Amino acid sequence: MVSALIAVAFAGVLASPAWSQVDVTAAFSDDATEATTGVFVTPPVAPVTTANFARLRTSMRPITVDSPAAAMPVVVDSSGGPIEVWRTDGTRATLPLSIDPGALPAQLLVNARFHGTSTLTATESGAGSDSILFRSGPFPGLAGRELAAFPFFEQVAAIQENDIVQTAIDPVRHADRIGQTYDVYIVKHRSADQWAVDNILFDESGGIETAVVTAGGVQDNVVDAWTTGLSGAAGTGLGVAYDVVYDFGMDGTLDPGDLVDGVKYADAGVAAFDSGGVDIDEAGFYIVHDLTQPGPFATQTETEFGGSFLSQRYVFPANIANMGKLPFIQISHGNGHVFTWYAYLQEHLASYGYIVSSHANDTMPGINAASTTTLTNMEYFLGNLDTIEGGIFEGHVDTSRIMWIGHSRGGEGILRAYDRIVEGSYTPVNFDAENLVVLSSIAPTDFLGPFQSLPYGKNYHMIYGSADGDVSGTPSNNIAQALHLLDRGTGFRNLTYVHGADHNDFNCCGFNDFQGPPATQIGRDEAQRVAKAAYLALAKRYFEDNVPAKDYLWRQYETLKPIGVAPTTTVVNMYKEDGPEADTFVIDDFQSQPATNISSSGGAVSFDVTNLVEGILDDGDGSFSWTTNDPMNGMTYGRSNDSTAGVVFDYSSAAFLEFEIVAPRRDLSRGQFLSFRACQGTRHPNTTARLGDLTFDVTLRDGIGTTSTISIGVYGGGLEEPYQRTGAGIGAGWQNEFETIRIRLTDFEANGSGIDLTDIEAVRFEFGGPSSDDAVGRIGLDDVEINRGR
Amino acid sequence: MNTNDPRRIGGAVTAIALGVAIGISLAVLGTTETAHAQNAQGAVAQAESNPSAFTAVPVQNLVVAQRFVLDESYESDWSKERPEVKQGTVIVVRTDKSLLRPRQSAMPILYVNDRPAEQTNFGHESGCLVAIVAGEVDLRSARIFHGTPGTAESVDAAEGRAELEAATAAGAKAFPEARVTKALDRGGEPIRLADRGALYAQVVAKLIERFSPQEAERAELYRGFDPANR
Repeated sequence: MVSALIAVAFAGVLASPAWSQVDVTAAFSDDATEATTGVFVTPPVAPVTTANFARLRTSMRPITVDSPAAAMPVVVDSSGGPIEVWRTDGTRATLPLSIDPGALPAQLLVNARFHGTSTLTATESGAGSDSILFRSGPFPGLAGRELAAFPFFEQVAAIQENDIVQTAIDPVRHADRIGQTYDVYIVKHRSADQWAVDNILFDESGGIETAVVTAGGVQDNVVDAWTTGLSGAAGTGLGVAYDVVYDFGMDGTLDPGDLVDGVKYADAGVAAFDSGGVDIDEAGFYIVHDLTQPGPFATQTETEFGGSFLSQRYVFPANIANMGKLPFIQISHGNGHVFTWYAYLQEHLASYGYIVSSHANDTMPGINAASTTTLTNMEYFLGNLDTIEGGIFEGHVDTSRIMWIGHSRGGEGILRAYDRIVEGSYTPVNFDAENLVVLSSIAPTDFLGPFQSLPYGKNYHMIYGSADGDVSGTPSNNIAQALHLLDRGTGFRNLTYVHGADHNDFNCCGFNDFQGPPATQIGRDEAQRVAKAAYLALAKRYFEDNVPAKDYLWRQYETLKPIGVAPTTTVVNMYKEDGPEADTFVIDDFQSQPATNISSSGGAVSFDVTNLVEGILDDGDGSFSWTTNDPMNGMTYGRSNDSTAGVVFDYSSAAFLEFEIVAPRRDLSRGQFLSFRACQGTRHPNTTARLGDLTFDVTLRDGIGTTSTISIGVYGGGLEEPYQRTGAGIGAGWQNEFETIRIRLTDFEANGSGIDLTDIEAVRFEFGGPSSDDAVGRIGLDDVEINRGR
Repeated sequence: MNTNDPRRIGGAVTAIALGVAIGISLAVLGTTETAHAQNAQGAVAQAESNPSAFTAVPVQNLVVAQRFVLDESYESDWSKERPEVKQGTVIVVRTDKSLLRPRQSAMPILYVNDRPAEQTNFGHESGCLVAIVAGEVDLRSARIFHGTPGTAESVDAAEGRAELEAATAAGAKAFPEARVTKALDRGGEPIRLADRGALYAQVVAKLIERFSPQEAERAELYRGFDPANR
């Protein structure tokens, strides 16, 4: 539809008669582009009002209306939708706007209210007219990293200080700027309010780069904007916030018409096209330090003995007396473990400003007993702040921000404890369920099955080693299949799956239970470096809604590995946005609709991949040996009476799997990512035939048949090959490792692909094709959805 | 009298008796091996996928039996019925250490007759378990054995009876009277304590320290259970 609109506009409206003296011109553009592809306007951060005009003016595009020989007023009006016009003094110019000849040339600002196209026309009666086609759509930002193939550039939030900062502009999206020269500034992040009062640019990267928007592709417009001296020293924070400004005025100030990556927009719903927006103070990018390194605070350790199974060890900032209220983290150890064994994690998190307690956990009788000690220790601490350690914590605990971490039986115990609160069998005295911001299990057991240890909609994280010799994941023992708990959640969930780590690597002193190829053993120190980084990101994400921390939870570890983690260490991330807050459009979760030819959202599913089976993600025969009788081989995400489900299939030549987007949901333009989780099928001949990361293509197709295709491998990595552990049958390869792949929707638009995100008809996965290195494969797939990047 | 102090029922201080118990050298402990104990670790592993395949393994020796009474009872987490523990016996048993390696998944449950005992340590290095037997128990007729792997908190009375039947059928027997008498002698007179915390701090911790010294950190933890030690 967009192309049609442009064509109509071009033929019928845009061409100015030769005799016309009226001229309307967008800043940093030219008449030729204005009349063809149009002028791109970045979407607003919120509806502009008189009150917020100063904050939002920089997102508007300046235009000049003139008619040198005007004898009559020039009337400015629009057709087609999303734009509104403001005067530079901050007053709204109601259209049609009549401008007296004496007021010409007139400077105005154009704001795009929605995504779409609109034509602005200036007309002088009897003297002709001139028009500009405005286009408004998602603006992915400027900062990121260059890719080797389409879409050639990826916008990211987190850039580590051992990396470089690259910026890029897509010369097709911004075709109106081709040939324009600009200065690249990396500036300390400012909110819209701050930009309103101070728009002077001060570059922090050691030099201003000057470049010209060049015709071609985004890959022809990449600037290495900051290559040395990056510092992520954010104190207790995670990430130093910067904005990127493309100063097209080249005057050292941010003005309308310049581009800024650091004023972000989010609205309330994927489907709600004009549901209104919210201003989110999010920088263009963040430089992040080594998350494995301690934070700025010296720590203090104290031990409290409060009675039977009320022993607690606290680690906290030593100068807590001079601090405000700090989030609280409680660790519940596992069976045979001791509460003093988590000093590494306690000290790390405390050095960033958290109070971290590890308590004696009564795990031997079972999970209910463990859950009781999780609860009683919580009550003890919060109920005795005035006396514990002489009252040192009094007034310094933020009881609205609490994280529970539990290891193994304790990892299930914390969920049981939460479940008891939810089901009403336990009523907290000194806290309530809302105070629990995030729960995290380290290699938890699953004694109690699907109905008693649930995270429900709470934010839930799991860290788990592939070489765990205890909660091993073996298909014959449901109790030892930790991943069950993850899939029982209904809120935000993420997994940090660490190759070569065993069960006791995540404490100081448990015995070595490593089970796997000896050469893959990463050791306790390395496993704990991974854990320290993961938990710091987790705390920052959920306690503070830290933006770059999110990147560590979902991006491929190959492309965002904490600096202190060894280059050879393999970690698989899974991240799912779920629950009402996520506002996710689920294309297919494979649960509510068991038919293989209909998705859970009601769209048609078509395929020519082979041996496609949809079902519960539960290995059916207790062995990881591959057999055609057990299509869910390697799946350890649920018991037979769990509800988690997915699809498995294989291919030996080019094949596809396509999901139709139902008509009411085809406008994906306000979504951030196409997201899904996928894994390789362990020990399947197609997996063992080519051990390594597996890649394939993802294609969007719009309503007029335009397609845009991205290989998941372009971002680095792919679907990790299963950890090559033996046992539990014949062959090598342990449990299937679901890994989240998220592709930014705007990436499909790169370089003028022509895809219309407002009218996406289908998401198509293409395997074994010419752009893939992997001619054969066995894959599990789940949770195909459009999410908000939250 | 300080109610946190160990007291013998009837007023006689039991510290001496306890001292006798914990003064026993590990070297003098019995080392009876049983056929059931052989390949026990393999049996545990096998039981992961098929718990019913596990054959009960009797403990090898009863080393100490210390009876106690509490001023304040506590609710036990060690069976589904969650009985109140007002009195009982702390026992030290020697067993096949290959059964005892701490695990997160199901471990063989220590039974005294048809009820799980409150196991307080792991004993995987020493081979010695310190456990609390709730209520009255006649150790001269008691079968003490490792039953089907699981968690004690989920065992109900019917399951406990089935475990005992299975163990008896598998050859579990009561210890000879002389051995039980010796264990009781080592334990000494019954002891009266304030509560569970005191039991752990003043009896269990010392027994662990003595018979399973590798678990000194656990003994130290239990010492902290008694408010008197804070």
